[in-house]
Amino acid sequence: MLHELGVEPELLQPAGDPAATIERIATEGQFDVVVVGSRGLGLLGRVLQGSVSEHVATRAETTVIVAR
Amino acid sequence: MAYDGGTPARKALETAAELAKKFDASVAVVSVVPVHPGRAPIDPWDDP
Repeated sequence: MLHELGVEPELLQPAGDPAATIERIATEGQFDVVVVGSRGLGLLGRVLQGSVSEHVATRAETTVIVAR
Repeated sequence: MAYDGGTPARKALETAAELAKKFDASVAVVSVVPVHPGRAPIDPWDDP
């Protein structure tokens, strides 16, 4: 999809806890914006499963866009 | 942008692509391989 729009992405595939890893990469990579998706979990879902997007949005030291 | 292959991630990918085009920005796609203590890493792209 990105190629179709003329955007050449850099691909990173680190291992680890998804939320903490995305937060760390966002900080270390000095990115201007981080875009994450949201599964639309309710309160109970977020408590039981955790929310990567919520973690990143509240802890990353950069602008975070949560796409729904 | 963070990507795990799911529907929300595809929406995030579209959003990132639109922003990149509008602002002539670069995009880095981060796909984290979940690591759980005591278990081998599972590539999210592997079949279950």
